[in-house]
Amino acid sequence: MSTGITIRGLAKSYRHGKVKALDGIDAVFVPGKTHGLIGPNGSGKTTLMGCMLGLLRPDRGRIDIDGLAPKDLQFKSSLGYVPERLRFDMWMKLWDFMVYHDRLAQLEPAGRDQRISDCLERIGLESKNWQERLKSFSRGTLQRLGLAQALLGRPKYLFLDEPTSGMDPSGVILFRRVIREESERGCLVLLSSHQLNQVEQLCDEIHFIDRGQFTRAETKNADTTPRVLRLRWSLAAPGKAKAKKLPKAALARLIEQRAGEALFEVEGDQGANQIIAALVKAGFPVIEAIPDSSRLERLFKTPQERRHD
Amino acid sequence: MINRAVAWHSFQQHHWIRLSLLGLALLFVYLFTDGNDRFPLIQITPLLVWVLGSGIIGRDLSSGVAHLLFTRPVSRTDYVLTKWVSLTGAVWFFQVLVLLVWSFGKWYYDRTPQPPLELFQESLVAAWMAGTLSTVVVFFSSIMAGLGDLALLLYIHVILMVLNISHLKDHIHDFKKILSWILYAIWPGVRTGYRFSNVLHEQQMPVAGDVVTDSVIALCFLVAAVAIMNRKDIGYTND
Repeated sequence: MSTGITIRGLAKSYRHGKVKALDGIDAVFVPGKTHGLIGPNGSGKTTLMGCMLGLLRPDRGRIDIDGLAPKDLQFKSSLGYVPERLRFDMWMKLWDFMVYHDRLAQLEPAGRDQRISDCLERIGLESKNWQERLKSFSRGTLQRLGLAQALLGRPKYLFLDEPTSGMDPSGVILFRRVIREESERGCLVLLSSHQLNQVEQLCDEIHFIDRGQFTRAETKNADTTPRVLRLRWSLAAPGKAKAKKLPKAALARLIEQRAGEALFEVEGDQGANQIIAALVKAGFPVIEAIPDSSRLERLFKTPQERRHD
Repeated sequence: MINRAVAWHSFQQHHWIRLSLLGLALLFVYLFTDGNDRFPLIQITPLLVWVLGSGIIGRDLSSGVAHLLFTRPVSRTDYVLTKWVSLTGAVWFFQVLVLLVWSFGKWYYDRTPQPPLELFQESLVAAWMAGTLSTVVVFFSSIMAGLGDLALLLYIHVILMVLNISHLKDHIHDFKKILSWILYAIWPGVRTGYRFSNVLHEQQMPVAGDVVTDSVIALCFLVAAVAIMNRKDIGYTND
């Protein structure tokens, strides 16, 4: 029975303690879920991932991965990793690169060709390119290849560090589908990304990291942060909407009104629900509700930034 | 202990360097065959080790290739040992090739074929020299990123050369001997190589004590390389 990853009091510094990259991180990542890591540049995301991968030696603290240490080869044989920087052996051919990683992962030689073909096809890398050298590929194709090698052997843990930067839109859509499939399979996915929308769409739990510390964790529960909501209603709909004044709601404040639409400042999901229900009840058939920013974007902003907006 | 995937990968790297080196080595052998009674093992081995081995670990670290490699079930100890074995193997392969060309040259010029037992002995000594000298490059490469090992070794040699011609030798007792010992410690196997290069062909096998001393020095280099790699942070900070 997998218990996932538990981190206790993890600290890591560089330059003989002058730069604190991680400062007492505590976290639990459970299997079968997609966990997001969000934070500004230099906040410690990659260092945290490096410690969890056994690449960096923490100054103090403990990482427990189903009873194993990050350096344990048993953990690494069930790990898939997509690095932020695609530093591959560019002299290699795509197929040879996959064979090399299949062998490094110590997977069974029997069925190797089939396994590699399946991974490459799943990621949308066409067979006509399989004998080409990596140096001839675009960044987007290398990103796909990075994901393909990480998926070899159906890993139990999948660590992704900015996996879609440079990927074309079709690649991003495919990537999201693959990650959802892996998560449904029971894989523990850890995604570090700057793309807030992507993290919001994919992750069950989101951890905010800043200056080497987890500042908050969010799940897909109700959002209580205030935001501006643009509500549109159908003008063609029969009824008394045109003539009537807009209704009021306790947790919503009207900012601006135009023909067929209005801007409200609402207090979280509850405020949004109140005003939409009130509008519909008053005869304004709401057809669209557009928030001014995504949920993560709002959470990511500091109170000062929110006030400034 | 030896990871075959890493070994094969290391052997495949830098084909063009190996091919150009092969041409150089064969030219070298051709030039030295006529009129020489000795196989130029001592001259050719450090060159082979240096050219084939420079950056053997450091380049993996600086290029970022090691970053992905160590997320696979490959221990760092196995990685260092595999790199050492693959370098030794590559050097030995070239040594044997050169040895065969040399023997052919001897037969071609002098019509005196080398006895198979001597060839076997030479190839054994070549393997030992390749093994001991490779530890040096593996060690320096584990310290320095990229081709820094090559630069560091060159730097040390330049310092030794400058000290050798300096006035210090007039003030310090046995100064030249000290410098020689430093050089021998940096390149275990060379001292032994010189010893059997300067004796008759039949007495070419090195003295047992030298072999043991040089092997111990080489082992220290290898153990140090393993220890350094196991303590090293492998991250983007190494880029």
